[in-house]
Amino acid sequence: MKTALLLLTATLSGLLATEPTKPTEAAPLCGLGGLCGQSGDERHLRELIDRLVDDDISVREKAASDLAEFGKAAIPSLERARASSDIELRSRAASILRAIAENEIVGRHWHRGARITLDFDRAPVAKVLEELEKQAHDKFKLDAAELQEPMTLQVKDATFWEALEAVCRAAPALTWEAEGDGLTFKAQRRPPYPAKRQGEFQVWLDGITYSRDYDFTGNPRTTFTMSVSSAWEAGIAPVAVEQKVTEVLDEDGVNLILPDRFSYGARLDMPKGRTRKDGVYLPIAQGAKAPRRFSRVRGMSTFFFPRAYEEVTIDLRTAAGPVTLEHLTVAVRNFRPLKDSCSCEVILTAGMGANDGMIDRLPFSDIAIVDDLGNLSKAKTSSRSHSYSGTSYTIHENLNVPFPEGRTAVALKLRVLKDVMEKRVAFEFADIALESSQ
Amino acid sequence: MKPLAAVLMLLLATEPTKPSETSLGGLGGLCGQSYAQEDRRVPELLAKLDDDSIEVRAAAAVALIDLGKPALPSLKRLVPSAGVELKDRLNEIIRKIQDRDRLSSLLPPPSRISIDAKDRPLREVFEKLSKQTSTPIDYSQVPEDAKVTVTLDRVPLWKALDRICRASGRVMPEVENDHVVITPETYVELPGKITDLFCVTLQRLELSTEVVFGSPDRYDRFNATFHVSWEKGARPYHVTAHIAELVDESGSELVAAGEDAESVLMSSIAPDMIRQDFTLDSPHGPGPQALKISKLKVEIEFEFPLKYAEVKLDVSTGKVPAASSCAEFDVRLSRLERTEGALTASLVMVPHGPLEGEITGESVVLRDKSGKEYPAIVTEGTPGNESETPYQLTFPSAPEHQEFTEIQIRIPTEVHRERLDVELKDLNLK
Repeated sequence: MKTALLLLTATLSGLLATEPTKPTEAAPLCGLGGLCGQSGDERHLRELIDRLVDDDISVREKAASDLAEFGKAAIPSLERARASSDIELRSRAASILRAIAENEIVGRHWHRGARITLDFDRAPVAKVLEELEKQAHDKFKLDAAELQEPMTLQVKDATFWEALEAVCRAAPALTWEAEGDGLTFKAQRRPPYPAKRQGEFQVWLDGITYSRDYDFTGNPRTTFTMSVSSAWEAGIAPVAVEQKVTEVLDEDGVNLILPDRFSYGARLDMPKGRTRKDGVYLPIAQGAKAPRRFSRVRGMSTFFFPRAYEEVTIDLRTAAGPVTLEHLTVAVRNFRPLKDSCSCEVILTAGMGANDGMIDRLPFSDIAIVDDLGNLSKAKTSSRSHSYSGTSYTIHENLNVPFPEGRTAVALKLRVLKDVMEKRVAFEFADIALESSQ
Repeated sequence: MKPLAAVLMLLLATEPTKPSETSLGGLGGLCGQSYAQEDRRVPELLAKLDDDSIEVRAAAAVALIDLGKPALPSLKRLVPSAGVELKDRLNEIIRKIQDRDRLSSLLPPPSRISIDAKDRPLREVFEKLSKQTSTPIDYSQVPEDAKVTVTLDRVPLWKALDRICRASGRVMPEVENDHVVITPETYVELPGKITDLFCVTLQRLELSTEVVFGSPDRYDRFNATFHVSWEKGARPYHVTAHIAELVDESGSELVAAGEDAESVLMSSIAPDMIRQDFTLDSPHGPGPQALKISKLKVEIEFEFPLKYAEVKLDVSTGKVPAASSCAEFDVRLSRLERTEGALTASLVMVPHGPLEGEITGESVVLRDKSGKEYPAIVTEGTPGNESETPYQLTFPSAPEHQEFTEIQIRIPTEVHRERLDVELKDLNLK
């Protein structure tokens, strides 16, 4: 069920044309569900709701997924169905409503990538980039005067990253770097990084440090630090990224990676901007010979997007106990009202489940103190620490909120990230030389 | 072998004759020769000072310095009649011999260890050794059942330690900040050099390379971590070191002789320290696949203060004292107060010319009425102008209701530099 929902999300989010910033997104998708035309919609929606109680399970499921794809427009009809006397219809409508709500949250952080078509014959590089920028709704920074050399390129229906790579290869000299929310271009040849491009993401190795530590008192050590980078399309904002290297084979096909512990921490770091770079540290077994090349490097980058939040309110006037949600608890400790501020500790403890629970589930920007007039006050800076056990992890936020004098703090209000959607990009690179070619 | 001789002679200057040293074979060979042959060697070496070859001249100068005090009369006799160039060379040699002589009177006399043990408990041997040196030795971890056979006759500390551990094979000497620990680990001979005064060991090498996609070059780095130790009390004021030569297994010079390599400087070595670590690096290394280093030569220079300039500031009134000066520098306080319990001050130093030393923690001392001394923590501020250097002083141990009399500031104005070359060949990295 979870995977089905995930796929659904993927197709739907582009439809969330509720955001005015992406007007073109909706247009090409119009054909998909016969969305255009108001009266047609209403009739179609009624039909779909009717099919939710069809005898044929495949008809019911198709109807459910079509309704979820409708998104917001289907909400009134589904609300009516939820009030129906048919218990089955009620529960189906409720689950579709939940899926629509989740898809909407996902849609704020993730959307289906652009499809790029470029056709240029001896056009200046800057002009090609301008067109790419337009089609991708991206923000490019470049010095047009520097990028006037002509280039010829044809790309049809490619993903953004494929198109960008094609442009970099076809241009006489062009490379890019993610900077803030956009990309910055330079007239330099782009190094042939081993890279994997998949949908809205690109993952690549931008360097390897190979170090041998020869200790004369014993314990020689060999380590590799692989710099794994990823970048995502404009408008996409993961809440967490995890980059792992799972296999490194030397020239004889021997796997050099020691079974290492789970790399904590990395995921709790919210990525900023368009890119994320991790130095993946790989200690090599003692006594292993010094490799001259890697015949294969495999790994996985996982991008996490919010799917469901839960609002939590904790009363500060009484010694309230911790609030327990499905697999996590939130508690407030040491609340202290001060002259012009108030401080407390917010502690979130969550089970780690199947290795995927650990992300920042306590978004700092969503924590506020409510005063007796119902006004919200938020802290300006975050001060938190993390701790882990084998089965759970804890985020400990030391909150200090400026607070109007004379008001009384009534409650702490926060939003907990309950569920996430994952996008995985598995990468595999072959034949990487570690020695100089001279 | 030369630098070893150099340091050895430095010690010999205080102790006239040691015939027994000859029994140490190669090690003491130098000393054995000294008195019997010195008359013959001096004129020979003096003649070489005028040689056409720079190498011959330099080697002769080093050998004369190594001969030390006994060579002084002949050297001095030659000065008046020498030409300008030779005169300079002679004066330089005389100055170095005299510096070493002065230094040996400033440093505590080096330990000479004598032990004659036949299949004796190792602990007992270390106990005997401990009694012959002021450098603290912790041998509590030495296995109780370990036995050793070793004969040492007036052997300097570091060599004695190495010889006992090597003979036993079951323990390793490890030098901590202010004492030596004998650890129950199988003896491994570390690459390095042991002289009478110093023990230098190469602890580890780190060879790394950075793969940069699209570039045929690999950026190889090399770094070598050394430990250098000296006997308690014989601490240098500064140590500087750099890689003088680095040759890989195929004979390529990664750092060529004569190349200007960046030096690492270690200062503020606390008085009771007996060890200092330093890591030297080179942007050109043999890469992590290397199985051998053909040659690694490191030049280390130890600085010992011979003379200080000092200034005293009267703080008996509890107020900011008047400026004070000596021939080499002026000093003034701009602030003297209690902040968060500790006595703190701001100090500005204006040197009259280039100084050999700078203000460090141990150059500043606060005294009370009874003459008790309180050390300072010194942090250097950002210079206001070129000639003034501001410092923040904190005396954390100065009691709150004590009457203080003076702050003394002492800076070395003359130092002796002792060079030690460590040349390591065919380092096996398999």
